[in-house]
Amino acid sequence: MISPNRQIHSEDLPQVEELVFLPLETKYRTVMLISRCTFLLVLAMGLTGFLISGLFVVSTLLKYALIAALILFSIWSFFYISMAFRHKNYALREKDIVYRTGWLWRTMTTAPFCRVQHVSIDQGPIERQFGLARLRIFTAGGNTSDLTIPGLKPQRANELKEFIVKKTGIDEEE
Amino acid sequence: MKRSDAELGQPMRQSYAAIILITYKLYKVLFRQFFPLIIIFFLGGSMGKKGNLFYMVIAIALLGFIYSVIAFFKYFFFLKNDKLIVHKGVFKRSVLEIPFDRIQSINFEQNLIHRLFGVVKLNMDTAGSSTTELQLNALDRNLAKQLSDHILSNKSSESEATIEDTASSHQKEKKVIFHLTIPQLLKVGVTANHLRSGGLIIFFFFWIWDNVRELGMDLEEKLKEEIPTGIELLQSSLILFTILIVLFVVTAFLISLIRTVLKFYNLHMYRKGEGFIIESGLLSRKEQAAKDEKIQLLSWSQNLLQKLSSIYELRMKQASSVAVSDRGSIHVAGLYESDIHLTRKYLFKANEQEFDEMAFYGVDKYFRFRRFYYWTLFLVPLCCFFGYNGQWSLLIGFSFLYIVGMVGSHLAFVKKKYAVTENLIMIMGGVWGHNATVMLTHKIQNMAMMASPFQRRRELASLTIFTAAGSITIPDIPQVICLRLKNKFLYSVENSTLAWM
Repeated sequence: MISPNRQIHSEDLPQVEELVFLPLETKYRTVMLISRCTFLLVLAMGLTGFLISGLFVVSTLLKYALIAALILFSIWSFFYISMAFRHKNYALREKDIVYRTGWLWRTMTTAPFCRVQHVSIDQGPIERQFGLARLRIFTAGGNTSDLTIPGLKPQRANELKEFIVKKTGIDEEE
Repeated sequence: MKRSDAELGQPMRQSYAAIILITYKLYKVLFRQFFPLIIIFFLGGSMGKKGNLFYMVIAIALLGFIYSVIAFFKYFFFLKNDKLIVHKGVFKRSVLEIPFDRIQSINFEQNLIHRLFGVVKLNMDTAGSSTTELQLNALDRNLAKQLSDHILSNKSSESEATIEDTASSHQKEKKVIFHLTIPQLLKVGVTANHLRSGGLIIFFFFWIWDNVRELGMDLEEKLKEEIPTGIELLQSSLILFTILIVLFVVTAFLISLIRTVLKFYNLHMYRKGEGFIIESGLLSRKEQAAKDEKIQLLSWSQNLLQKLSSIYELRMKQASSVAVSDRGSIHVAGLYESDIHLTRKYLFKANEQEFDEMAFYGVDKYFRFRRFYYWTLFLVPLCCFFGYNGQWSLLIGFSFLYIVGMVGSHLAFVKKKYAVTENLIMIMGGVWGHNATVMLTHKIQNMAMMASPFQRRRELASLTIFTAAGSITIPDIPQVICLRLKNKFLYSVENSTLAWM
C-alpha cells in the first residue's frame, strides 16, 4: 500500500508558506461592498417588481419568505465580503507572483514570470472613484488561469507591472 | 506543374476548384442559418407561398454563386521577403502579411470535393492571437507541397537549431509509427463510446423539436391530435417500448461505427523530424501535423469495451493560437500498448526512462467520500420517495443507479493516481476504463492550489496545473505534499531554459 505521507521532494526548495503576504488596500473592501450593494439593489428591485406586478399569484407566506431570504442574503453578503477581503493578499518573489483569495473556498495561484505573456492594468468606474487599480497577469494557460490582483494603488500596480515586465523581458503589449 | 521559386513570388490564385468550395461553404452557412425555415417549407404552407420561397431560394443561391466567383478572383497570394502576402475581400479589400516565422505548422486537408479535383486545403496555424489562422481553400497538390516546403525551409526561426530541424525534417523520410488496418478500424468502431452517439441522437431530436416549435408550429398539439394516447400507449405496450429501445441502441451503434470509419479510415501516424504527422479520413482526408515542442499534454485512454479488446485511444493536445479547443487536439484510435510506448519514446526522448522509475501515489479517501456523499445525497431521498409511494419499478431503477454510482465512485478512487519524476507529471484515472495524462514540467504555465472548507478540515488540497492546451488536476492530496509539489514544479519551471512552445 502506498503511504500518502511519504516525503518525496527535497526540502530546500523555496517554500511558499514562508512568504509574507501583502494585503490589498482597505479601500478595496468599500469597492467590493458598493458593487455588492448595486447587485443587491437590482435584485431587490426585481423582487419588488415581481411581487407588485400581480402577474404571478404569490401567497403571503411565500412573499415574506422571499423578502426574508433577500435580507438574510444581504447580511450574509456583507459579512462574507469583509471576511473574504481579509483573505485576499499577494506576495511577490524574485521569480513568481502569488495571489491568495477566498475565505471558505481558498485558492492560491502562482504565475512564474518566465511564462507571463503580458501584463495589464485595469480600472473599473467604482475603482477609479476610489483611486484603485487591478493588475492582470496573462499567461498562455487560458482565461481561467489568469491572475488578477485587485485593490492596488495605481502607483503600486505600475511598479509591479514594471517589475514583472522587466523580469520577463517581454515586449509590452498595449 | 512545378514552379520555380521566382514564380512563387508572382501573384497567384487558388485552383479553380476553389470557386466550388467557396460556394459550397457559403451555401452551408446559409443552409445552417435557414435550416428551420427549410423544415417549415417541407412541412407545410400554402402552394403560393411555396412558389415564392422557391424563387427566393434560387435568387439567394445565384447571388451566393456570383459572390463566390468575385471572391475567388479577388483573392490572390504570393511570397515576398520571407512573408506570405494575401490580398482578399469583395467589399472591403484587405492585405494579410504573414512572416514565415509566425507560421507554426501547415496542415493539409482533403474532403470529397477536394479529392474529386485533386486539390488540397491548406491550414496555416500562426502563433500569436492577433492574427487568425489562414486557410487556402483549394490549391493544386503539387503547388501546396511546394509552398509549404518553401515556407517551412525559409523560416529564420529564433534558434538556429530549429532552422536545421525544419529544413532537414522536410527532406527526412516519414517513419510509420502506426497504421490502422481495416479489421482494427472495425474494432475501434465497435468499441467506440456508444453512449455518446445515443446522446447525440437525443440531442438531435430535441434540437429539431426546439427549432420547429420556435417557429410557431405546435408539434405537441399536432401529435396529441394524431396519436391521442401516445404516452399511455408507450406505458402500456411493452413491446413498442422494447422495439424503440432496440432501435435506439442499434442506431446509436451504427452512428458511432459510421463516425469512426469516416474519421479514422486508413489512419497513418508518422514520425517526421521533430514531430508527428497524422493522416486519416474516408470522405474528407485530413493531414495534421504536431511538432513535439507544441504538444503540451499527451493522454491515452481505454473505455470498458476497449479494455476488453486491449486497444487504446491517444490524444495529443497542442498549444494553439485559437483558445483551447478540439482543433489543437490530435486524436488517434486503435493503438496497442506498444504503439503508445513508441509514441512516448519519440515525444519524451531522454525523459522516457523516467516512466520506469515512476512511483504512483493515490489520493486521499476524501476523494471517494465526496462522491459517495453526493450520490447518497441525491439518490437515497429519491429512492425513499419512490418506495413510500409504492412506485416499485422506479425504486428498483434508481436503487440500481445508486449502486452503480457507488461502485463507480470507488473505482474512480482506486484508479486515481499520480506520479512525479524529475521532468514528468503523470496522472491516471478512469471509472470503468482507464486514462492517463503525461506532461513535461517545464510546460507548466501557472498553478492554482485550491482547498474547500471540507478539504481544509482534513488538511487536504487540490493542485491544478495549467498548460497552454488545457489543465490537469491532482485532487485531494495532503496540503503539505501539495505545497511541496507546487514548489518543486515552480522550481523546475523557473530554472528551465527549455521553451514550452
